[in-house]
Amino acid sequence: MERTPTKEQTLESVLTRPDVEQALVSLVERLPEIEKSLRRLEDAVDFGMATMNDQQVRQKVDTLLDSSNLQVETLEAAVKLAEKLPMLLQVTNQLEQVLAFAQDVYADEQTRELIGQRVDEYVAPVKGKADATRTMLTEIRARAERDDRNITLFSLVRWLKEPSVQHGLKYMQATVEVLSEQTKK
Amino acid sequence: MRTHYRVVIVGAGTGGISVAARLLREKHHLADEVLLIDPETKHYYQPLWTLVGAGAAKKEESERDMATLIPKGAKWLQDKVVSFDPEANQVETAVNGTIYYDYLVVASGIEIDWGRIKGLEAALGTKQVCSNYSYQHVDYTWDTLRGFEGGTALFTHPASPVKCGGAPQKIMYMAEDYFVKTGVRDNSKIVFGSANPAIFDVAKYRTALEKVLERKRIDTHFRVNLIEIKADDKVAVFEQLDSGETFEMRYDMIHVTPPMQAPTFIRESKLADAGGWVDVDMYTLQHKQYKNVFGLGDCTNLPTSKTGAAIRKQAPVVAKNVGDLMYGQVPVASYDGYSSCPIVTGYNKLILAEFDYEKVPQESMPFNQAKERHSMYILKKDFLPVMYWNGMLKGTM
Repeated sequence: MERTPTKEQTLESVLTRPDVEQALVSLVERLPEIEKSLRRLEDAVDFGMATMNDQQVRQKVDTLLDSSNLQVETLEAAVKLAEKLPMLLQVTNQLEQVLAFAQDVYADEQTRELIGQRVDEYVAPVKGKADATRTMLTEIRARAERDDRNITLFSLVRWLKEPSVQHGLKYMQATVEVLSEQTKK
Repeated sequence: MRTHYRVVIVGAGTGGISVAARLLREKHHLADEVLLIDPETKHYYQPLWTLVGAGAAKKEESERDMATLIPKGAKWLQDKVVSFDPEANQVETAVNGTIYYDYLVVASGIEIDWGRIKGLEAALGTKQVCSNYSYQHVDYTWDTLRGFEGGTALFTHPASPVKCGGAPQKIMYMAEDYFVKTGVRDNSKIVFGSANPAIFDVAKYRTALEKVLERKRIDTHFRVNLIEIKADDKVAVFEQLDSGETFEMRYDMIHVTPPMQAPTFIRESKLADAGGWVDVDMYTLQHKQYKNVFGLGDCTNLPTSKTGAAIRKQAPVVAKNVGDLMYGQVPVASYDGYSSCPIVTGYNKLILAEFDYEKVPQESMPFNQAKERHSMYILKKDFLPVMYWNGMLKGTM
């Protein structure tokens, strides 16, 4: 295919650009090194091919493969695992960071102290209430066990005057009234 | 003394230490090749100061020795940078002379200009003039709230970028809650004088906060800027930003958020834009002119809210891009402008605002974060400090 004048002009203009010119000069200067590298690569390829063509080497590789547990499934699994490597790397990185954070918290005395204080702040009110309830229950049990009086009708009447009993009874009364009204409807 | 490092980081605050930790975690061969320059011997977790000012936390919990936070493998030069010469890849320090770098990260934070408000410096910490923006004086905010017996409680927000734009109003909400508890709320008036045009930039959280203001009966004055305090007379002088007129307001206590600016040595350097901030690409955080220079945090001209949460997202981008550039790759890691502001609205309530450059909410939790929640308050008070000291500064969070 013939080159159009525009393309030729473009190529010419590209080649005369100072940066391209400089790159070409640099490339030419490095040609001996590049040639050496290519030669080394060629040697390596020749060595590889010669090795694979060597009957004894091939026999050894076959024996090794036959005596191993490697199967087609193993290779398939390896490929699948390789496919998952980016995701596994991400997960591993995240786990590594969480682990590093946990280790740092554990090793940091000031942070441990801070966490301890915070836990105390949250636990103290709950613990206070639990202690008060336990004390009250102990007192009730002790009094009940000490009390050898018989409960009489008069005792029940006295209870009825207690504000807490009154309060409870009012709730009961209100509940009965509401339920009764609901049933009539 | 050694004068050349592969990476020099100016500022060992949140941004500087986070980037150093991340670089060293990713590139082990950079051990002893990362230099942090910072003159301070103490490092502060400043988000806690809102709670300290409201008596809900101890200020000592917000302070740690700088030496204990320098990442393993990084060097710390306790000195002050006085100038930059980005053409020669060098920074000039006050005591140790010139330091050369291959890559420079600028994370020197923001400077408080107490002197810009006439009468503030002399009055701060006395006569019911308080501010949570100073470790030295943050206790006085709590003293002032406890001593308040009614009258006008005035809270201000200046006409300049500030670190944590929500902090000026957080302490106001806490104060209102405290006044209700102590029984002085009914005979007091709470006023918010802000240079901003509204209570918050992001529509979703603005709507929620306007309801909070209404519920708490807080008077708001927007587009006003505090310019003077007459502490003896308990008078604040404001400038109306749109008309230029000034007016006075009497107070019985005032919490001042001071004006802030980029540090002088940045403002006067070639790294700064016209406003004095480090001029970086808003996505790659690479300096717009000097490609081996990066910036993050409060000292940059990034068009987002200046918060520690923003730095948490900026640090990985800077670390990745510096690393890539080191190996001849184009820096492509990108920052989306994420910032977050845990707005405390009382002693056990908080709105967790999270948003990006477009002011679009970027919420991390699977529920509506514009709602005031106790769980989010616990997150701020108890969990975020641990995440900061042991996660963010270690390069893992």
